[in-house]
Amino acid sequence: MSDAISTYSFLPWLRQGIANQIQAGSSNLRAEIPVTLELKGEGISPSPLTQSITRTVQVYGPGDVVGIEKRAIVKTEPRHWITNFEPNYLPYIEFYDEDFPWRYTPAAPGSNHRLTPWIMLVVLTEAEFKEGKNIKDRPLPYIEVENASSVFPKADQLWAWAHVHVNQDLGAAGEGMSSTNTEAFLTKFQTLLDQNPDAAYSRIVSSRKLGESTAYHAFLVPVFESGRLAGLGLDPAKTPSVIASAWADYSGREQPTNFPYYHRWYFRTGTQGDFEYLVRLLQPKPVDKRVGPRDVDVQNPGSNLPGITDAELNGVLQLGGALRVPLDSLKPEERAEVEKYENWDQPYPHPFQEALAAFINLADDYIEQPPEVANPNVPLLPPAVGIEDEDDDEADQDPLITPPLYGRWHGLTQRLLRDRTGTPITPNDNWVHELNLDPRHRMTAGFGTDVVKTNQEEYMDAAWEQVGEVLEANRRIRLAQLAKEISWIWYDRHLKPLRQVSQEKALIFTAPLHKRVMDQGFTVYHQLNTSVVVPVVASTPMRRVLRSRGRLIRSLPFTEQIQPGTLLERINSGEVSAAPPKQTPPGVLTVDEAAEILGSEVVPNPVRDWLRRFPWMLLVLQLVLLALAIWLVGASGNAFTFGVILFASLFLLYDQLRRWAAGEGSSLPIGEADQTPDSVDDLSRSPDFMARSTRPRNEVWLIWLGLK
Amino acid sequence: VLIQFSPFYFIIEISASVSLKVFGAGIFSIRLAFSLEGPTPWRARGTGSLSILFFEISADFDITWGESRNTTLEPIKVMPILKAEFEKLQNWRALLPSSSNLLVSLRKLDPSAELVLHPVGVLRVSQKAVPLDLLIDKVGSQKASDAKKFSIAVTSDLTKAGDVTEQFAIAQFQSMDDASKLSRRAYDPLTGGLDLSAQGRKLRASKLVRRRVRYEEIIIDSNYKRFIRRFYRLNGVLFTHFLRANSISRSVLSKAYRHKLQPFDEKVAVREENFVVAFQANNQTYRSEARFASEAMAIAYLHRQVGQNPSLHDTLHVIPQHEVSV
Repeated sequence: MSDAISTYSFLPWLRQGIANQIQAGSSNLRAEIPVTLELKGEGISPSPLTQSITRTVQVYGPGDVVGIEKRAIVKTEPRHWITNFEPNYLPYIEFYDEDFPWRYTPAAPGSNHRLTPWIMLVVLTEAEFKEGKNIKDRPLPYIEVENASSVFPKADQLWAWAHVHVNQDLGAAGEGMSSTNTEAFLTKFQTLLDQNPDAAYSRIVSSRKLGESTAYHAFLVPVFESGRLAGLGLDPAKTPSVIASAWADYSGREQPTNFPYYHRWYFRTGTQGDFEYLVRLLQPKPVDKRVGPRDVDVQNPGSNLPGITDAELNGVLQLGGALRVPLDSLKPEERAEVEKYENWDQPYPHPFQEALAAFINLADDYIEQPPEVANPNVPLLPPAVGIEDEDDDEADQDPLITPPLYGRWHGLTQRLLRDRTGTPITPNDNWVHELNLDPRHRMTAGFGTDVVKTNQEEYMDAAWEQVGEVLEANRRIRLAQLAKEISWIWYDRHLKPLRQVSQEKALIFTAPLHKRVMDQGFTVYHQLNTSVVVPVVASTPMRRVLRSRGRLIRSLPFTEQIQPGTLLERINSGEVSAAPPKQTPPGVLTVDEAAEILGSEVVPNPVRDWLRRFPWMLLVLQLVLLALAIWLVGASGNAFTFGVILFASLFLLYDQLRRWAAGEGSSLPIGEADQTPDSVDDLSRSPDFMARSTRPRNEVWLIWLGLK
Repeated sequence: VLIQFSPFYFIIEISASVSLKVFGAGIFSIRLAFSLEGPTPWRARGTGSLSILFFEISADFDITWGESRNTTLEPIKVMPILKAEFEKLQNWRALLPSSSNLLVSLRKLDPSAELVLHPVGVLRVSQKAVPLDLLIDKVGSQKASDAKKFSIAVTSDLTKAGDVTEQFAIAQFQSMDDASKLSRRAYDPLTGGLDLSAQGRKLRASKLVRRRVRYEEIIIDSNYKRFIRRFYRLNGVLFTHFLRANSISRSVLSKAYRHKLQPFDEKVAVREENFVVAFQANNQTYRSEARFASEAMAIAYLHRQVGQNPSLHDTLHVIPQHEVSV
């Protein structure tokens, strides 16, 4: 909504792509660009090898162009054969590509924003040129101009007559009406072009002041001499310099008065009457009721259909146009007249509409009924000139060609007013009926059909383009289907019987595919890999070993139960393994057994705690026993007996405690299952164990000293 | 006949027999069947037999003669081959823009004599001798002696627009066992060169002039005085709306026209098959970037990944993209 949008921007010239690299002052036919490639090789030598390759590339110039396509030109002003062009206007031509007028210019832009275009618009009166007659061996048509330098625009001012027109504001706010901030406005321009390339175009304006009531021919001619020579079929390399003008004279100029042209058109100027002049002549007036509609004769619609002959319609209907008079501004009787024609088919349906509907429905009738049954459904008039029939009494056997039912696919409608059984269709006043039963709408629909018929090739092309590579995709789908079906046959013939005989064989046979077949989210290979059965069973060497006629298999003593075909199952159940689990030879004392023996006696828990807490109690008990023994030597009688019993029981207690204490010391976990490095360190040391080198000691010394 | 080129070696099996028959009964025949291996030392092995009526004498022989000689082909320098290829004029091609928006007809030129580039075209430099951007071991049957991986870049004004893919017989450039020679496809699409173009669509101009769109508005009405408003600014929305019917929008080249014929962006497209590095366990893609146009590139990527992370050994494989499970 901002005002900035309704702004035109203009650029004096524009270049894009490789053309930007073109430098001035080249003496050759075309501009040249050097290209350097660097070839790099690495992998063997520590530093990469490099080689450089240089080549000079030429760029197409005006001397290579021998024609411009019509579609490049989007507009000429005035159009071809306009005979009242305003003489105060300048003719111009517009091109779709923004950089087109400068694309082949073999020069770099000058410092003062000037770049000569490679084509120019020249407007000549009929007296100033002659048509070129001899077009043999000439790629372009040409004209002969005697004094080109006076009627052609000045060669050094051509830069001024071409520009780029952009329908958007490319400048920045507060910048004024002109800007040389190229970086900023070109970035904006590029964004605009990416978004909508239609927003900009290039224009070449003729510099000629036109006279009144004069016939003119406009020509698009090459600006550079190389372009002129190429257009005439001569060698463009004969140009004196790459930027020489096509209408500058030089010695040895071939066919000096001939000028080829890429495009031409004709127009005449009027005396006056440009848009502004006409607008100022406008006067306000009430609109007549006749503005807009056209009368259409509907008395004889053809195809033997009865006409609309209602008396009040006078045999016409009024076809509406683009302009229409507002109903409110009409007088009541005028309005009644308009509405009479608008509602000509009331009461609906009109007899003509009934007949037309029956006629259109014939196409659908023929699906069920033969022509001789269906044709009498239509109340057709007898043909004006009777067809001579051998047996007149029989009905016409041939089906009739019926008018089209417009919008049948869009409205999904095959019949109008009545269905196949003859009962009226409801609703019968929807848009399909309105379109097909009103002659005025049928006319418009006919124009639409005509447009489609005229452009049908283009529309079909576009439709194919819209679906894209559907044919190729379908071909590949069919090939895939074929491959799938063949795979099924192959599976049924070969793999299925194998599966029925032995699942194991099928598994081994399909081994190369195991990495590709998915089952429950994992490949078969992975499942085999993580199972008891190792994947090596399905490997090629294993298959080679296991082949049924192999020497090994034949020589092995297989039994009923043990067969090479059941190997996988037996591996899976643990019956067979590549290396059987280790077994302890009989009669060997293992660590676990020793630990069991050592820890076999059960020490009561309170006693164990007591022993752990007070290990000196054993010593006390020993001293008590010693004291008791000394006391016994001097004792006698009952006391002696009592002492002996006490001593014996204390000794037994001591012995038991000593054994428990010894057992307690070694009952640290020494079983294989609960050994840890700490527990091994805690084990009591064997006094005669030491780590010793097997080498003689002096040799160890020699190694340490590095002498050996 | 079996021939191996480096080192050069061949085996020829020869079998010949001559027999004389009278009324269909063999009277006399000589038969010789042997295999000749070579070159030096030559070795001939086989059986010769001679039969006369009912007697047959046969003898086996195994003879070796000649001195041993090294027949391995010399390693070859690849850089000169590539340089020579890239210097050939026929490997440089100036392509016209693909959209056929050339809009001019050009003079016929001799493509073998001059290299002429269209201002909006692309310069294509490519060769079919050695694949680029891929580790190679050999060229033909000769080992590469100077480098194993080659690449090309542009250093002057033009920029690289893309890689050019050529079909290379991968077995000519990488050492493979016979099984993979048979199971891999014969040709892989690999980089052979590059496309050059000017830097994008880069625009150049020098000056900008702008003008506001302003009109003189005259309102004509029978009930009022003729009313003139000077320098009426056109509403921005109306301005863009009116532009939709201008002559450029009706041109067959315009975006507006093309959009009428092609209103949808989506269409059926056929792609060449890609190859993906995936896990052997579940066939899921290893990484999102592990997708390649050629099997050889995918395998090279796999080897690189395994080299960086040895724990990946035997966990990855290369499969066609349609087999990837999602």
